[in-house]
Amino acid sequence: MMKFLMMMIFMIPLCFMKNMFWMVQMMLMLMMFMFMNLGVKLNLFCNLSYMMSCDIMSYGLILLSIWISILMIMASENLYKMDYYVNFFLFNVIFLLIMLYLTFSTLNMFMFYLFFEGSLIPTLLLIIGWGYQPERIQAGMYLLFYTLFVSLPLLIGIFYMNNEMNCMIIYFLKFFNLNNYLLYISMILAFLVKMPMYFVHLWLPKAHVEAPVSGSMILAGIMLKLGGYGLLRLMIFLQEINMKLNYIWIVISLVGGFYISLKCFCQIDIKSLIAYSSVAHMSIVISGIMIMNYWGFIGSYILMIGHGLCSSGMFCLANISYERLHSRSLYINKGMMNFMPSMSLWWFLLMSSNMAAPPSLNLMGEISLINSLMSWSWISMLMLMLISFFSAGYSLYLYSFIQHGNYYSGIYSYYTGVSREYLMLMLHWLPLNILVLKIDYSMIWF
Amino acid sequence: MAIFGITTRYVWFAVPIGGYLVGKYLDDQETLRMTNFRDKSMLYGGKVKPGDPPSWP
Repeated sequence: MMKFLMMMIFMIPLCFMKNMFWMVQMMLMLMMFMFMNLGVKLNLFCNLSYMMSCDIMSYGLILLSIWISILMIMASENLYKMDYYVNFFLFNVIFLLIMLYLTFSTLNMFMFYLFFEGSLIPTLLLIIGWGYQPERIQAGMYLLFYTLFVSLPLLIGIFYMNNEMNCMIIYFLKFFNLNNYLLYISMILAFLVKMPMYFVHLWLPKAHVEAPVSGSMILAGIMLKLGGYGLLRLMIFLQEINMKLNYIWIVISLVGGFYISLKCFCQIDIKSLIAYSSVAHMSIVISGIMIMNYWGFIGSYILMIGHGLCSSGMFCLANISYERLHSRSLYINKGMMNFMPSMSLWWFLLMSSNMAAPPSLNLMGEISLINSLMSWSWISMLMLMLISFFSAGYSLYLYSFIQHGNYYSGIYSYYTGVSREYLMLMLHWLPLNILVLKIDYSMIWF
Repeated sequence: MAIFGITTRYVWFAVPIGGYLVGKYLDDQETLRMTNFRDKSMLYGGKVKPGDPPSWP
């Protein structure tokens, strides 16, 4: 695992050279394909070295992180054209990728905590540095303080754990069972805020609205999955206490997911709508993890991967419109079918993936999650029906609002999609719909 | 000069590849270190007869 870490570290000086924008992206692509060739297919930890390792769960998420980083660079061509601190941007992306790589691959709980929080800094810099509006400072503060407020309990929880078990190795957690309310709350709250759970989700729409496209992509694509990854890893030694308390989180998530999908219909900002739809999806993921059965775990994992690709693609689409109309308002982004007919195909494909239409990963994940939730309690069927229905509803709403109708009369000039954008969208959509053909890799890790 | 779009700037690819090789060297050293503990645990130690090849390279 040191191989790829060193590869990324050696890329850092190249970020500060002139005209290295696409070169760095291609180096990341090279790394992606080298990493794919590791071919981890085991639910055991492989490639052990220096307290780093990956099993199939971290392998999938590391692949997703590298992929999203590549696409982030691809989506931010405007920065390169305008030479808007592009070197520091590249450094930021690589630094974020290193943090994510270490978070997903480390075996030590404390190191996990360190890199988990460390990934916050480059995200914050992305928002504050490359955001569009003055309100981005406030959004950055929200992001920082929501996450930090609950991360100190996590740190104390990890120290307590070390004191009790004399062990911080993630692999050995399965030999322990700590039945302690305070520890439980302090351990999971940090991840629930990161996911985010309903009630503590307010930082997410704010951060998305103020972030540049790359910030939104990494935020929706990976940062939300950090919470899910942490929960999936930690739940193993909190099983007993979780069985007593899980209904709290499941109920909050299911009811909250329904409210949030209704809130999606009230949005007038495309990015904010996509951000709220992320919260709705993540609420089903939280309930799947909290139920702690096989289908819940794999469903959450699959939905996390699927949602990472899908929502990141939708943020790309929102940015493509934004670059042309300089507005994200739903009232101005209308009648797009007249302007970019080919782009409306991609809107359709990504929106249909977002509403869990076949053959996307989201469908597979939602089927597993619905099964697991139904096995927990049949009453959850009511909320699941509503969430599924309204998630299809707001996807259709967004699609038809943007694509149909009369276009905004104030448009002065316009240009259609360029091949970079189509390629970018294709690279979001293809893995999302092709990975489902080999879904059993995601099903063996548990 | 460019052959299929490959220009001399692609020489910079040597830098991350060099990093990869350094990392691979470190990984191999770590694997070598871990062979100290190979086939010696109470759980798996008895499975390898004296004279047999070790259970993993």
